[in-house]
Amino acid sequence: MARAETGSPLERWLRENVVVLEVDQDETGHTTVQTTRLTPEGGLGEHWPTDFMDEAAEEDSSIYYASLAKNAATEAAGFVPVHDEGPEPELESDP
Amino acid sequence: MTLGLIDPQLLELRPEQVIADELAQILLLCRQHSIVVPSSLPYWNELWSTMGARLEQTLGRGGQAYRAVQELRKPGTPVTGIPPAPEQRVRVWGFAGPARGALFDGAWPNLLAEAAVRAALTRQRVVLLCRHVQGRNLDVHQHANITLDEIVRWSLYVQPPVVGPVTIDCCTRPRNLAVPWTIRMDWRLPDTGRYPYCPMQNWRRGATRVFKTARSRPAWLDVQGNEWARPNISAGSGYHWHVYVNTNHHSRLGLEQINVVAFGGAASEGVPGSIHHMDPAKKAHFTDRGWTCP
Repeated sequence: MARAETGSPLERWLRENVVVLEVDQDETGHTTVQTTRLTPEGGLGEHWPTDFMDEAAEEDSSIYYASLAKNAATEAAGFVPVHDEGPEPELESDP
Repeated sequence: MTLGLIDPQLLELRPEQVIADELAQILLLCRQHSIVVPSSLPYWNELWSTMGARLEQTLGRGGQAYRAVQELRKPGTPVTGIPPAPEQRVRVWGFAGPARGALFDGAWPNLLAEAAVRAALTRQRVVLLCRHVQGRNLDVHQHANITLDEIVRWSLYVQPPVVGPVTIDCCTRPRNLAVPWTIRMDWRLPDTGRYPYCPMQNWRRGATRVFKTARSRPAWLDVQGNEWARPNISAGSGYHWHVYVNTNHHSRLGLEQINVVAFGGAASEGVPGSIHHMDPAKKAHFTDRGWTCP
């Protein structure tokens, strides 16, 4: 969803046709169903089901932060800019 | 392609709902404007191994904020062809210093300046994905029921050799790129309808006065000399601006103050830039002539 272009037929189709259902049962045996749709950003709109894809997300985080720690040691900060406190520079045109 | 740099303040600890709301706007901005956030710049590792890691640990698993932080980390795809930092000294503006609106402190000014300079050397447009924090890049002026959020740092500048001065706009939401003056003025000012807000020609320059406080009432100035004051919103209603019109418009419209629909409200509030509501007693004096931006 997050990779579909804004307003594209794929995004529209996913938003209109995909619904995530969370089915939960309490101690008395009472079952509830909650629904939620996808958001344009690729998340879930109204409700994120408990534990839904948590393990995968956490694993992804641990791997990512471990790789950062590995790379950090190889970096050196050598760039020292001149911080100008005067008025902004003259520009030929706006961005 | 536009390159985005992440403001470390986006990863500062704060209430989860605030994180979720602010990052949702940033993610939408990246998506709608095809902003690529390079992960191959040195500030990235520092950012995520310190602030990102700490923030993720404090957030409820599965919550919107947690997802949003993970999503923000994802666009960090390696962008090839980013030149190394130049060996010459490079002048930069807005990153550090005692000046009002300097954005960063600690090790961040140099790390972010390096990232900005290297990104600017690609000759792609560069923006800072940022957050407004009172006392840092935001001053709040309040009087009775009127509040004006003054953004005191809306652009950074770097001047790499050969390339020359480059502007890096500080963006918090998609509208900042669609309507550039909203990086400095209130994003809820309308740019459409019969009564649009028309910014000063040199609104980017710090020396250009864009708001004033008259009779204790803080209000945005437009290029025509009209004053735009925003009443505080209570219970989600009243998304409009009090516009105190200039003498010329006063005689054209028949009123010295009109209520104009703000941008960003519900559709039921009306078209942004149209008349929101009018006191019945004033209606007889009013002529709906509108105005256009020069």
